[in-house]
Amino acid sequence: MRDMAEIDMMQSLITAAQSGSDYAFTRLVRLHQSSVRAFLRRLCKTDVSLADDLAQECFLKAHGKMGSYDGEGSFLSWLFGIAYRIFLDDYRKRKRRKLLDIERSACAPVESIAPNIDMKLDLERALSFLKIEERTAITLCLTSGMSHSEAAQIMDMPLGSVKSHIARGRTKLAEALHVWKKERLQSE
Amino acid sequence: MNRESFETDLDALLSAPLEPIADNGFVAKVLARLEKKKRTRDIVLGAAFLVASVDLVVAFPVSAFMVADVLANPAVAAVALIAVLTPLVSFAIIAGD
Repeated sequence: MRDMAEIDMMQSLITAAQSGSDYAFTRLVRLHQSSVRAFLRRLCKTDVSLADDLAQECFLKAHGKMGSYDGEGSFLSWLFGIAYRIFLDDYRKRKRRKLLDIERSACAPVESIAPNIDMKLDLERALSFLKIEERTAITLCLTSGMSHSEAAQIMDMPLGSVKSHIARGRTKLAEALHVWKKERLQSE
Repeated sequence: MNRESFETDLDALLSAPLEPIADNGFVAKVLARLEKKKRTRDIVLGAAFLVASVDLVVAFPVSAFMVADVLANPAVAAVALIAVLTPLVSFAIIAGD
């Protein structure tokens, strides 16, 4: 019953925001800011301020594109789609300018992080060593509870690729966790 | 510890929801940027409107002779009216969008 009321309220807010209500849009930002920022923080690894800048950009873009949201899929997955594209654009720009070398660390083999026990203790940091696509797919499907097809839509890639990214990322994380636990047991 | 328990631990860790993030002025920043964007857009549109108006004055210098000429011929009057109104209506549509 409460869920239905929430869905109705969300739908009303979206409709009002699409008609140009700034109040409704503000409510939508307030409701979704935490999810979008948390999602971007995971994509941006530890760069919290970059993640928040991109989240602001995401909501500005969403404001301009409100009319294009057609109710297909959840509003949050629509926002995640915008956030992911903004992140990718920013990532490519930074990579071109060589200001931030995310790729090198993102593509580092799992073995290279094995000696650092502290790092493996922290799942967030272990996740940051995955490829962007693996990290995104895992965050969307395993952490945010989205379906594979929603993730495929957000990431603009085939369903099979999303599943592969999840499987590969999960295997890498499992290996990292396995090595870490083994080392911890030996040290005890 | 066997491999299975590692996998279970990993699943539990990965399915834990992302930590909620407090607003801490985030929404206010978004709204401020939105307001600034609107102001910039208004200024750009205003400037474009001004330029278009000046262009029209330059392109169609209104003199007593021309006014009399235009009014004497309804077809020419209609064309002049369309020429004047088209950019103005276009800007009004763009501004209202």
